[in-house]
Amino acid sequence: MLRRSFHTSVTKKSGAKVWSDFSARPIALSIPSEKVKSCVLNGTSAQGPPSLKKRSSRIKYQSPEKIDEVFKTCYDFLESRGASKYAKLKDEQNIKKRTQLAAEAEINNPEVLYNFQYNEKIENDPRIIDYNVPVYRYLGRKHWESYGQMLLMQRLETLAVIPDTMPTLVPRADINIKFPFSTGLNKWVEPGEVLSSNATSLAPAIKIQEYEDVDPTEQLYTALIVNPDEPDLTTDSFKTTLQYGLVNLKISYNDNILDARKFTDDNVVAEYLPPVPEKNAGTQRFAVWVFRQSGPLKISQKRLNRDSFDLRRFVHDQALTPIGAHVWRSQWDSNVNNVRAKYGMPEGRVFHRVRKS
Amino acid sequence: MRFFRGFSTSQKSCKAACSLVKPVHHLVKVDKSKLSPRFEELKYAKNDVRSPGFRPVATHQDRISEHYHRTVQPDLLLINYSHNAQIKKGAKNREWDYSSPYHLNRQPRKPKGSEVQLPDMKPIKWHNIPELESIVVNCYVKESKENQLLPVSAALQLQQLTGCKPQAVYAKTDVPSWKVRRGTHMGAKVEIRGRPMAQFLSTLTEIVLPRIREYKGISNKSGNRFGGLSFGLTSEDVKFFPEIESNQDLWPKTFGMHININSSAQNDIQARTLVSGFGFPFNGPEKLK
Amino acid sequence: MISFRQAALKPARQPVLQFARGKRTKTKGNLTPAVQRVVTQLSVMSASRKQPKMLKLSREDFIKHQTIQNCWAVHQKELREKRSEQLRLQYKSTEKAMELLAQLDPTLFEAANASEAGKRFPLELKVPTEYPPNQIWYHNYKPKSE
Repeated sequence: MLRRSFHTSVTKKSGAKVWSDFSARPIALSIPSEKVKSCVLNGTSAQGPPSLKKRSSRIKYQSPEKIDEVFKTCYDFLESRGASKYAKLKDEQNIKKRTQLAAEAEINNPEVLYNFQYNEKIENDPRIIDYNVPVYRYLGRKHWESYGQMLLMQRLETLAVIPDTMPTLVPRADINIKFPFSTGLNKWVEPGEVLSSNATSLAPAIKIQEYEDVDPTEQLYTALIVNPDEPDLTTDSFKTTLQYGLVNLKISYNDNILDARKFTDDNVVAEYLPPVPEKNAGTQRFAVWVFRQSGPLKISQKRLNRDSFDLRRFVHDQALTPIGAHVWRSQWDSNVNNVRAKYGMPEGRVFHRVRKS
Repeated sequence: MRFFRGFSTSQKSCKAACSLVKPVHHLVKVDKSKLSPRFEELKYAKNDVRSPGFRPVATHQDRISEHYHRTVQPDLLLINYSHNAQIKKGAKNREWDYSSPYHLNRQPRKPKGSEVQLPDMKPIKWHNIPELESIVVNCYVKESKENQLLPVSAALQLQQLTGCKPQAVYAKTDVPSWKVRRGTHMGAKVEIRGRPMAQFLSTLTEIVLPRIREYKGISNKSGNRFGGLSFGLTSEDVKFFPEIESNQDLWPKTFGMHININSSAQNDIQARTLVSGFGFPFNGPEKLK
Repeated sequence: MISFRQAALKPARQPVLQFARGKRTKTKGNLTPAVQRVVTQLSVMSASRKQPKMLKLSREDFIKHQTIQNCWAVHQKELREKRSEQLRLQYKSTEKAMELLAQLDPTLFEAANASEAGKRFPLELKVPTEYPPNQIWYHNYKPKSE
C-alpha cells in the first residue's frame, strides 16, 4: 500500500524548535499544567486525559485512533511554518506587520489554543492569557468580534444610544463594566441590562481591553457616563447629564480594570452620581463612553456643565476618539429614595398623567 | 408615521408616504443567530467537530481533482492561450436615442442580435482556467402523473448513484397536452460538488459510458452557451451503474436521467475541451465561431 | 348497589385505548406490496436514525484535532498557492516566448497563435489510478484514423 505523506524535506527544513524553547518566550505561550501539556504534546498516557476529573470517566474515555501520531506530524509541520514566520519577523521593521507576523507565528500553536479556549478571557490571568503577546490579542479580538462586539452594537442601536449620545461608534476596544461586590451584583453587566438602583449605587469598575497596537505607557483614556434621558420640563424634552467623568487614565494590556484604586482624584472630573430615576419618568439609559485622548487633558470641574452636558461638543473640543461604549438602564424602584438620601440629593419628583384640556 | 419624542407628549411630525426603513448607525455586521443563547452547538461552523452537522470530507484521495490539477489545467492554459488577447465585450443593452419623448423611462433597448445581455469574454489566464463546478443530475419521470410512487423510486435511484440527498421536482405549470397538472410530484434532482462529483464522474466515464452499446458520446451541439453541457442517459444505460447492477432485483424499474455539467468556462467550446479531459467522448459536428 | 351500576354503565362507554410509548398503534400488514416498497425507499432516504453518534472529545484531544485540521488547511493552502504560482509562471513564459517568436518569425508566430478552439483531449487519456493496468503499454498502438 502506498502511503501518502507530507514532503519530509519541508518539515525537516528548519529544525528549530521555536515553540518549545522557552528561554526567550513569554511563559504564557505554554500550558501551565505539566500534566495537560505532556498529554497534548507527548500523547495521552495510560491514565487517560487529565482534563477529565472523574476517574470513571477517564477509564470510559477513548481517544480517536492514531490521533497522537498524526498530531506529532502536524505539530512538526506547523512548527516549521511558525519558524519561517519568526525568521521573517527578524527582518521586518514595520510595527503593524511585526505584530501580524508575531501573531501568525503562534496562531497554530496548540498550547496557545488550549490556553485561550479553556481559560477566563475577561478577568485574564497574565500567566496564561497575556494580552501583551500579539497572538492572544489577535485571538481575543476574534473572540470579542464573534459575540461581544455584535451584542454591544445591537444594543446600542436598538436602545438608540447611537445616535442619541454620539453619532456612531467604530468599536475598537472591548468595554465591560462591573459594579462593586457590596452592591450585590457581582458580574460583568450585559449591555442594555436594567439594573436596580441599589446595584448601581456605587461607581462601576470599567474594563478597557485594547486589542490594537497602542503604546500603553503613553496612551491616555477618557471614560464618561452620561444619561441622555433626564426629563427637561421647560422644553418638554430630555437633556443629557454627566454621571461620571474620568480623564487621563492610563491602562496596560493586562491590568486595565479601572476602579477607585487605579486612579486618583486628579483623574476625576465628575464625581459619580448614581442613577436615581424619578417616578414615572420611564427607563433611563446610562451610556458609558470610552475615548482615546490625543494628549493630556486639563479640565476644571467647575466649568463642566454636568446638568445639561453636551457630549458631542465636549468630544469635539477635547479631540477625543471614541473607541468603545457600554450601556445599562435604570428605572425608579423603591430603593431610589435611600440612594438619594445616601448621596444627599433632594427628593425626586413624581410625574402623573395629566389630561389635556 | 413619525413622532417627535417629547417628555410629556409625543406629536406627529409627518406622515410617512412610504415605508421607512430604520437607519443603522454603525458598520458592524450583526449576525443575530450568533447572539441567541439557544442552540449553542449550532453556532459552530460546519467543519468544526463540535457541530452536529460535522462531516469528515477529506477522507480519501480525490483522483479526479488531482488529475485535473496535474494534467488538464496546465494543458487548458496552453490550449486557450491567445497572444495579446483583449476582453471581448458581450452584447449589452443599448440606450434609446431620445428622439421621441416616450423614450424617457422606457426599458433599455435590447442588445443587437440577442434577446438578453451577454457576458464579456475574458482572456484565459492562470487564475481563470476553466474548471468543473458542479454536476446537476435530474430525473423527470413522465409516468408519475399516473403513479405518484415513481418519483420516490427515482429520488432513491439518484441518491444511490450520487451519494447525496436529492430534492423533489414538481411540475411548474399545467401542460394540457402532456396531461400534467401544476404541483404534481414529477421526479427528483440533485446537485453534487467536490468529492461526490468526482466520484460520480469517474464511475460514469470509467464504468458506465464504455459499456453502453453504440455509445457515440456527448453531442457537440449540447450546451447552454455559457459553459454548461448536458446529456442524457436512458433507463437502460442507468443499469450499468455498479450500485444498481450489483442488486438488480431491487431495481425492477430504473429511470433515465439528465446530467448537466456546469463549469466555469466562459463558452461551450472551452467547456467541451475541459470535459473531454475527464474521458468523455464527443460526437457530431461542432460549431466554432 | 354501586358496583351494579358501574357494571350496567360499562358497555355504553367507549373502549379505552392504552397508549404505550414506542408501541405501534397501526398494524403494518395492510399495506400493498408496492406501497410497502415505497415506504422502505423513503426510510432509506430519510436522515433519522442514520446520524452517527457525535464525537465527544476531551479538551486535549479536541486541541489535537484542531491542530490536525489547521495543519491540513495550511498544507492545502500551500499547495493551492504553489499551483497558482506555477501556472502564473507558465503563462508568463509562454507570453515571453510568443513575443520573441513574433519578432523572429511572424509566420511561425501565426501558426503558434492559431486558435485551438474545438481541441479535445485524446480518449486514451485516463485518470491515473494507484495501480497500473494489467497490460501496461500497447506497443503496437496506432490511433484510429478518422
